[in-house]
Amino acid sequence: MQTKIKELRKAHKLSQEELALAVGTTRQTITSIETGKYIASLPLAFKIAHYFGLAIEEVFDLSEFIV
Amino acid sequence: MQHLTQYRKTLKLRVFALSALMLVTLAVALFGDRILHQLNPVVLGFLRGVCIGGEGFACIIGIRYRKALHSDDALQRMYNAENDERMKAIRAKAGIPVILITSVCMMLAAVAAGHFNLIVFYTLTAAALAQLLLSCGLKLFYRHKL
Repeated sequence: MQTKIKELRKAHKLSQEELALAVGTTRQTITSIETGKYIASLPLAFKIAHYFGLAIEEVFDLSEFIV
Repeated sequence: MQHLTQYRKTLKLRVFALSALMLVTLAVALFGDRILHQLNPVVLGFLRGVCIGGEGFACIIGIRYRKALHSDDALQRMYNAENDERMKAIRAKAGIPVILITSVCMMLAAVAAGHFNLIVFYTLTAAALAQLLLSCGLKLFYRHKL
């Protein structure tokens, strides 16, 4: 799944570690989500989107799930 | 912060349990030949080895817990790592909780069976180790994949 987390992180001058600590996960999980290897759960996706003050669909590309 | 207070209590309890475990393993490692003198020397040697390994493992984990208890930042990181959804998914895929419990039970059964038959002891120990190795391999594979 494509996400805008990396761009948002860069814009907010945040490291993966800092974002992980803020949303209650690990740096490795943020890396996996950014590279599209792992799809975040709804609560984690909500936490990340809420952290950047955006809606989930603005951070995560959900087009592949729309039927 | 409520979850961190609760987690701090859990860690203190774990440190206490680890200390008790270390005492038991130390007793078996040092006085095993006197306490369990009826066991086969091969089985006793294996049990001693496991106890010494467990002692070292408990020591390392205990130090990590104590460090986390002294710093809020380290405590938060440890809490995050333990409750990380990706790691939970990896552990579930590798069958970590069940295989670990089964392997410990098989090793206990192996020690008990070793009193009667050494072949059964070797077979059960080898099967338990194979299970653990397979689980570790799966964990490494999924850590790379997910």
